[in-house]
Amino acid sequence: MHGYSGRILNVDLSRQQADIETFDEAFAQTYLGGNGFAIRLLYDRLAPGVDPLSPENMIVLAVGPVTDTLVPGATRCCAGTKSPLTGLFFDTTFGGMFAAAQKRAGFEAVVISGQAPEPMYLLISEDGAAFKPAADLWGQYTRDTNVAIREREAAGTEVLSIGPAGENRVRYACAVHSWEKSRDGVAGRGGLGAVMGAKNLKAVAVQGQRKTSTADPEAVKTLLGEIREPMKVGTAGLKEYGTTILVNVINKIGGLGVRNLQTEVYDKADAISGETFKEAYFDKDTTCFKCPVACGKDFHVHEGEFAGTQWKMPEYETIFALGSMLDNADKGSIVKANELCDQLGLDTISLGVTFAFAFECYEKGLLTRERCGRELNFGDYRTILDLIADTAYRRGLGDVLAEGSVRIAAQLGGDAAHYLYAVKSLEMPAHSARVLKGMSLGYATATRGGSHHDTRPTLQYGTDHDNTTPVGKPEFVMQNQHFTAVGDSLTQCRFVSERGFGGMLNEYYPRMINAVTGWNLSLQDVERIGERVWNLERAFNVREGIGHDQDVLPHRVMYEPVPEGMHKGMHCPPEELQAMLEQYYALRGWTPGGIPTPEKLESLGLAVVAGDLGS
Amino acid sequence: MTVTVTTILFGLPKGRRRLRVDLALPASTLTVRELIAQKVAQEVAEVAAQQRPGLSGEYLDPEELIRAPSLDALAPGTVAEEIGRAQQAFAARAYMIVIDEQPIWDPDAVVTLVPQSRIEFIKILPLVGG
Repeated sequence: MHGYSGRILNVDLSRQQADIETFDEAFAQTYLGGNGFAIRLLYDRLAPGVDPLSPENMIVLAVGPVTDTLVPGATRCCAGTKSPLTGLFFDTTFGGMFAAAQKRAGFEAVVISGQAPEPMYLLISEDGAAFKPAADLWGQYTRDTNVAIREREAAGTEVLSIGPAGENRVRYACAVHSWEKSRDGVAGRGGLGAVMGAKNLKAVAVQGQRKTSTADPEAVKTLLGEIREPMKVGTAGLKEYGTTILVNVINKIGGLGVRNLQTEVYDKADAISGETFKEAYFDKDTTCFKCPVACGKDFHVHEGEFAGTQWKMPEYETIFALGSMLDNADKGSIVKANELCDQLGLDTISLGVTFAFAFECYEKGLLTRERCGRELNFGDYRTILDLIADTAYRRGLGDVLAEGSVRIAAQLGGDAAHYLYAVKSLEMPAHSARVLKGMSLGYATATRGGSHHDTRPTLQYGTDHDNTTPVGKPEFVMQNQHFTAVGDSLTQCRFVSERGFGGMLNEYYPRMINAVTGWNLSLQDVERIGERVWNLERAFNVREGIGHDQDVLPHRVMYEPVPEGMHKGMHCPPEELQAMLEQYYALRGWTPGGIPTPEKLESLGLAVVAGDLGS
Repeated sequence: MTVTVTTILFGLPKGRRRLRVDLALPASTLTVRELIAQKVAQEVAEVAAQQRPGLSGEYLDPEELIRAPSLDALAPGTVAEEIGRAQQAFAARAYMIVIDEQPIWDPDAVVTLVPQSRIEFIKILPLVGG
């Protein structure tokens, strides 16, 4: 089977046993890999209601057919699990070299279940899994852990590890892959790190030598010749500045969240813009394996309070979450905070937005100095840095912050929920739900919750896209969700795919898949894969109690118009959201309650799922 | 009356680019189409007279802007040609015009300007990220 080894590795940490199963071409054509494999395996193997932090939860690490081939940007590994933050299916991807190493080990998917009796790490090789003690690594930072394991194992071993935050089950703990040769990758969102920590799993290491065969290398080369120029043009700014280039432009259009979204125009944006960061701190470009873009940058802070800090560039999302949302324009502190989050293993988005929520609650008197043990003032970067460590170790107020904003709001009661910026308990990223109508509906219907990787903002920033009207958004959102589902199943980097191959599914995608696998899929076939994956994710979530009532936006997005700037007055009132949802459900062939119908599921080859949903 | 128009290009390989032109207008009330024509005509004239190094570039194709060794190296055509390109690009929403924080998309919209009016022509090159 071109593009695949056709093997899945099942690992039981409790029994310290592993077995290898195979899958056939029909399974591969139905789910592709990555995201598709993760949801199929988790849907089948996880009973509804399983506690995400219990041994019964599972983690799927999955790659796709184009991983470790000539196709550029096929650098991501998809990690799927049931999220301890949302209680729903969650997939998060990370770059670097791990995905290629997993493919070389000969497993498109690794399914990890159970709970190790004591801290350990997994070593996955072509023969299967070895269970290695990690008591001496427990408590260590992610980079130190990754380096230590690389030194213990054979050359070419790649590692994904958790830090203290994951060990302490912070609900938004992440996992970090440090590629020795270049760009690090962070499986940031949804709390994968906490799931690993609950399993006493400090790290997963992969190694192997297998080669992935390509059915038609010439067809791949022809395709690459066609996408080279659009990719070059579309990623020019990204190559130079990384994602930080977005700070100034998104602030200009009035969509950069400030002080927990009390406004969306930041008067200090220039101080934390990509242009400013690069001039002050740029050290070198970094890149994922075989990527021509090199959007990563390493920074070196040379002066001021944080002089000597050397870490990777904070991404745009991080600058939003640890910068403007907290009214923190001290750029050195943002680099330092980013380093702390990576080392301790914390998702910068959920952490920063949770902090911003807490700071506003403090401002409004819902949280007091007595309760917090300190003042929480916007702009106080020293408090931010202290709280990051407190959260990772669950010390004092950090133990509360470690639960995420929605659980804190439930504890506080009163008006606290009005200050949330989260959907389905996932804190939202830096692409305004008020200013981009496509994101309003996209967030409300995202299977992950408040994520910008279910519906993408990229095309919505183009001046040729009318971001102010709900007209056409249900169609846009649905099609874009199929694009992201396919992209995450191919485990392609979003940046390369959006600007090289296209931001919506088009003929390039089946050509790419067919060239590698030798199949003869049509564009319609590929779209159906995306739709299938999306519906199965929704079905997983429906089993967990999700429906129309949870497809909702934060109070501030629905009731508080943007107070200033180019998009002053914009928001997404409930009736507008409801109208978009009705169209969206109808387009999807779902019930008015947001449940996939038996007819829809059957048409996607998911008839067996229909019975589970009672639809 | 003279107003200042700022052109901002976002997403260039060299980062954000801001250029200003002081525009002498025949009347304070005019259509957006006329405003575009006035700006382009003045820029082309200034380039021809070597009073400015190049066009602001908001209506140029992204490929043209990104591949050019320098934006100032892009030689303009005739005034009529450049106005035509600028009007066509605006109709295709290849750039936006914002006056006093209000985006305006209709070329026939009538605007009344004062010397303090904040007039911006904004081009967003293909971006990706987040």
